Amino acid sequence: MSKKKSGVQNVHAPTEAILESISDGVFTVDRQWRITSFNRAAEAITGVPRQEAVGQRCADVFRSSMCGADCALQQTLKTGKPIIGKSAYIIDSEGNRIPISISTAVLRDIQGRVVGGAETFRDLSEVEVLRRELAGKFQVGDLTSRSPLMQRLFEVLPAVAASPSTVLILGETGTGKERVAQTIHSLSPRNHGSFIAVNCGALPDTLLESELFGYKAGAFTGANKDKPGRFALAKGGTLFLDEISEISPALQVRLLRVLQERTYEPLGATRSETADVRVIAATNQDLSELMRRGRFREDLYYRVNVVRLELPPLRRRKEDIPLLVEQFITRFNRLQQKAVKGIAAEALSILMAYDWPGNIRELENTVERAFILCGDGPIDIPHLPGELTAHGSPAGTDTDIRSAHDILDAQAIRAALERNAFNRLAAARELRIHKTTLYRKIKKLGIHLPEQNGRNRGKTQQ
Amino acid sequence: MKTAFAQWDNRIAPVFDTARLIHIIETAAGEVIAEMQETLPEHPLLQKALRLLELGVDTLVCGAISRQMHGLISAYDIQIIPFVTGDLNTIIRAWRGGTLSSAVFCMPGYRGWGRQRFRGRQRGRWVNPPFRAKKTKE
Repeated sequence: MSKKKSGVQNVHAPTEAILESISDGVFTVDRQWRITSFNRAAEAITGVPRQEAVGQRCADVFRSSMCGADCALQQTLKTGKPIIGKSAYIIDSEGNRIPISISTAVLRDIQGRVVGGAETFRDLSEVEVLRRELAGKFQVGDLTSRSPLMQRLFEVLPAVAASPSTVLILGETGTGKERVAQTIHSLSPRNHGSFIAVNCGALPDTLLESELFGYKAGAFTGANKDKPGRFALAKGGTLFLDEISEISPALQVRLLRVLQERTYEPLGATRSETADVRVIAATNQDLSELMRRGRFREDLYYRVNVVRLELPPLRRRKEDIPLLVEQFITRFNRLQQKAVKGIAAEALSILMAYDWPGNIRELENTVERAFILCGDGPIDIPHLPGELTAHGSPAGTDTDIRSAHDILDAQAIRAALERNAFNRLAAARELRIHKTTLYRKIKKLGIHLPEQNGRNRGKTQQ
Repeated sequence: MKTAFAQWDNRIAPVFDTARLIHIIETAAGEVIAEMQETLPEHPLLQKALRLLELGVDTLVCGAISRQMHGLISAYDIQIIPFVTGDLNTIIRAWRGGTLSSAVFCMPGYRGWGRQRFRGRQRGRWVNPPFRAKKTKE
């Protein structure tokens, strides 16, 4: 028996040496989820020493975002199938969120009986840093772009972040104004404070006032205790006021006072509080036009419009679409625990040809929708919504390069017709094709046209 | 006074940032006057903090919690007792009996509760860990 035991030890000794030397964290558990082994890298990544970890429940030691209902090891023991490279994060002993990838396997004894499971995990913090370094000049903070228009923005962003000035971000809906504001905050000296966002258009005036400035107990019926406002929550950090054009004239006055005097009074307060925040405002409206029409105070406009950043719509930075799609796929794979393998070239070309009136948000929603339909394979044309594929090829039909061409043709024709008020001849000229070719393609591609074309409408108007 | 215990599978949820369920105990003059379970939004973090505020929670007892989440909840003046582990009923009993600060209810490796638990590790920049629990009011 002792011989056998010593033989087992001989076999295991090199394995243990290997496990100790690798940079991936590895631990094993028994059937009761108690940790039976915990290597050196696991100690380093989790911040839990081995002697404290062994014998404890794995969730109490590992503390990953998957612990609980989404436990990877539990899934593996249930299905017998290993999980490889799933993204998650753990919370270490100091409260840091550490990005990791998790792999799992079933542990069996010599008779093949399941005796527990093994989990390996890799600290992705350094990979994340390297990935950002590789992205180089195409990245500032969390923003990534290869568009020259965005490059110009990237060049000024660090200087804007370093200054204490109020910033106004302009851009169509869905262009990523909040993301830019977050990046300014993360690059600024205030990044140890909180980034607090408020959508001024989403709340009625009275509620917005109490949300921004807070209230004291007894300020009104139901105010049982003090509630700090967003200005207080953002103390030492950044307050992002989205849709600033939507605030009422009365609130504009209060906001102006805060920006000028850096003080405010919570509702029901008898003393002023200091507003130690940097304000970043954003809107998709033309503020100068609103000011001319008397809907936005002139003094507030000039107080807000100190540094102005304009975000281009997605249709003017289409070179970023592949990059953004890749980012969304990575994120949705992580959030939905799927393994979608990128996007087919034909589907990507459809995305590149579309004008994206809803900008990045619409692109994100399109990728999310495709995730529901596409299972684990790459995103393909049938997974895209009808408005992109012009004549709405239903999901599940066979698609090939020819159909992708048809879809692209249909998108181009539809866009040209819309630009020319459905005047076929003008659209054909713009597309540099003969009008009979245009008619043939309209018929072939099943493009629906309004009964009244641009030429007729012109006559009617005359 | 309302105390919320982040819950999963009749235990304290290992990670509060992803916890979806809390068990709330309301006490007055040392007696339990109400018990209830409430759900939390999955994300973002601010919504989670606002939900606790909406429910009138004074103290949160939870498992591991990230700095960001901790900072947001603290900003609403909610006391946090973090990195707690154990069976839910046992933890509630310990909370009521004033023995929750015992090492048996503390997650492995956590350095809070006013003493250095992880001696083998180099001291980090948090000489006074922000997660240290305040004294219980009960």
